[in-house]
Amino acid sequence: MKISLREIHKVFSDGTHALRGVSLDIFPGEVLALLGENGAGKTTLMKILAGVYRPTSGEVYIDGRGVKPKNARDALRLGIAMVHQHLSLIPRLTALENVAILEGASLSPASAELRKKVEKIAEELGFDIEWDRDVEELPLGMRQRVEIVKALYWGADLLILDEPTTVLSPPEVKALFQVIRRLKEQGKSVVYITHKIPEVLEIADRVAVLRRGLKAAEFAPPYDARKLVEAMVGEVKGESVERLGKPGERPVLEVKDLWVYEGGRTVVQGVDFSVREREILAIVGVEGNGQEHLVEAIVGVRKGRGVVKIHGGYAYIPDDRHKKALILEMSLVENAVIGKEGEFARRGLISWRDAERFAAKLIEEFGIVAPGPWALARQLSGGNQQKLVVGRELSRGGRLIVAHQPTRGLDVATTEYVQRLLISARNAGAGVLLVTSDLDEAYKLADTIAVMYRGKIVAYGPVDEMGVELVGRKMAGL
Amino acid sequence: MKGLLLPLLNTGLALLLAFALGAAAMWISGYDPVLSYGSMLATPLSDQTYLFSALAFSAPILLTGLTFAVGLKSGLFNIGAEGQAYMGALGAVVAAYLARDVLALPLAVLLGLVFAAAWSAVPALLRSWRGVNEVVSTIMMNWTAYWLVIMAVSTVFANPLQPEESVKMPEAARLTPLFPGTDLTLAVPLAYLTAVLIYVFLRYSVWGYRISISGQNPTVAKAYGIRPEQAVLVAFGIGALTAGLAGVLQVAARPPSYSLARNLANVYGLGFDGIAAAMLGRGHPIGVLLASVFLGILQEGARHMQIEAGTPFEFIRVIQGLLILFLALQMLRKI
Repeated sequence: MKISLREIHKVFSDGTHALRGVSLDIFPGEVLALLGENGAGKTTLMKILAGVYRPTSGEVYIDGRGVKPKNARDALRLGIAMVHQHLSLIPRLTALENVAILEGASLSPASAELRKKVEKIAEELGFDIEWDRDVEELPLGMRQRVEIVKALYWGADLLILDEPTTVLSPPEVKALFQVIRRLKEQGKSVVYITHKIPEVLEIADRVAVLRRGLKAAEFAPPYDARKLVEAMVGEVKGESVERLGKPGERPVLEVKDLWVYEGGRTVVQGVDFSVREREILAIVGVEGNGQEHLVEAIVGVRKGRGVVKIHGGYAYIPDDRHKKALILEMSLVENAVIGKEGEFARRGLISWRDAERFAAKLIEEFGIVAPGPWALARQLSGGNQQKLVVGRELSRGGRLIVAHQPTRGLDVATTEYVQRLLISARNAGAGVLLVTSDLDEAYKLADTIAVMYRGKIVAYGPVDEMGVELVGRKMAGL
Repeated sequence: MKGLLLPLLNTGLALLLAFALGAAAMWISGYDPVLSYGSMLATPLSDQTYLFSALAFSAPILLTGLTFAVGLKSGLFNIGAEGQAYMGALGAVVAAYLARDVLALPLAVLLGLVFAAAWSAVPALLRSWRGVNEVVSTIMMNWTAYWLVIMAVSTVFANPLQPEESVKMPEAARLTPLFPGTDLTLAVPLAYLTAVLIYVFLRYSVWGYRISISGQNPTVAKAYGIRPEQAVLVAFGIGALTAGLAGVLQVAARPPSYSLARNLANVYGLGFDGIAAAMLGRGHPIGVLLASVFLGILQEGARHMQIEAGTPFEFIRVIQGLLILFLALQMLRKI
């Protein structure tokens, strides 16, 4: 079965324009890798195919026939199944029961016939699954295999795997790749969503790259890893904008031998660097190479081992404004004073009138479009929420600014605006630690570039010594 | 006012459903719901003595309700008010035992608050340091307090003249009715004032703000230098003070006994009524105040329902339980 997506747009209710007209074909018996950064629209696009979301506009065709999957069951009837990143099995049911039930369907008893069929499918794929144990007791890798069997049991011809290796150990990854090859032999198609280039090189028959809601490029083997990175993070076109003067000497941030662990894994492995005043240091890298842990260890949200010295206070623009920067159910005023509530207090009581004046000033100064200072942060569009965060943080007056993906998901004008703000803060003497996976942004803003790969800084130098080719190669781990 | 309409509608709906199902339960059991509700609601509202009695019921419920409400604000499900109220009452009894004059009153407040705070410190510190779930730890502390206070009241602090209760507050140290012949003492305005103070604290104080931010999103709090583990301690501490005060006032300011019953009858269940009040009041201190007055009226009214309609007092528990159920369902849906 051939699937065609045509001019798919998706605008979410909060105004995020996740897809801006993507067309894509999926052929029978192929493994198509869908490559892109977080927020590029990969998962959204596939969720449209899998019946989770409806497109704002655009068409889906199966073998030339227009279809509109309304929910997961509907999609499955059309032969499309998605294995989500956060697996969607019911923890308190056994593996077999999970295969038997279907969203919206009644719970059918696990019959002998079902068991025979399920075990046969598992055997063909070389799976060894404990069918009678509750799913919550199974390791994540096995749960994933249960989901794959479930999809095949219900007759899926297209299997969408969303970042399937994030929950897997290296041997499990190897096993998964074998399964994918076997599925291909059986004539099934697989869409493999990922942002990891080595995986693409190993498994994909074809690669489609999404970037900022658009299809940036398609590739067929043999692949050039550097070209893939470039398509993913954008080609470097920007010129350095009005950075005035050279970086100073005095450091505002010193990081020495920093290690960060999570769940038995070493995510940041002995990183050293410093940010000086009037310097923008861009740490670039494909997402998931430890940048998030590094940033969070620096601002103290996460524990790390090693030395982090911050001289003269800091501002922090996190990568996820909804989860890490704003409280959506609170007003702009309340959000504007987070972390500086003490400045608005006299004898322990906050003057909300002063806070309101401050919020009004931010609205004015940073051009935030809002119904008023007492509107809830939730009511703002993504771009205006980000302006609120950036405005609040820049008004903190810290000498260090930690900006993590500060322009992700923003429209062109807001992106430009936020980048200008960072540069003028730098020109005024602040040091900026910019962590981004957008190379264009890094070259536009940075005095110095460092590349992070698998928890280490693998390249470091002034921007004019760090050529695009070198950086791209280092990002891909070559 | 748009923000107020929906919660009011939701609360109204929960009330309606609880009363409707309560009526059905009465009818099935052979009681007359119309007569029952009539006597339950009309009597306390038509007679000053009964109304004051209802208000007297509302005061301790309000104070324990504030414990739960402040906890909710900081992201806690602190159901320790029950045990902390026992400890507050024990503090008052100890004071009555130690001092036989007017000094017993300030001593009662002091000891009651200290006992309650100490009781709350265990789950508070466990939660703050080690992230121990406060639901489990506060329930354990509630039961420990229950037996500990029963033991204390049955032995050292028993009243030799009336062994079913503790030593009485010395007469000079009692808060007596403001209007002779009623139950309304200074405890009632004091509790209402506390609610207003808590409102001011949450809305205007730096720590109130930190509690809200930590409760809404600890990740955001941490990223900007607000420490959720400290906010949790403050919320636990304030909750302990109001719950402890409820216990103290039940001994020092509640005619006629001015003592603690050996089976803890005059403090038993306050913590759970408080949870009902906090949920009905949607966690807002002034809302909790209104809710506690309403629950006070129900409690007083239930006595009249029993006398006038012959409907057992326990139906009030049925209605309250249903009410919590519906309110909890609404909360779940929001999460």
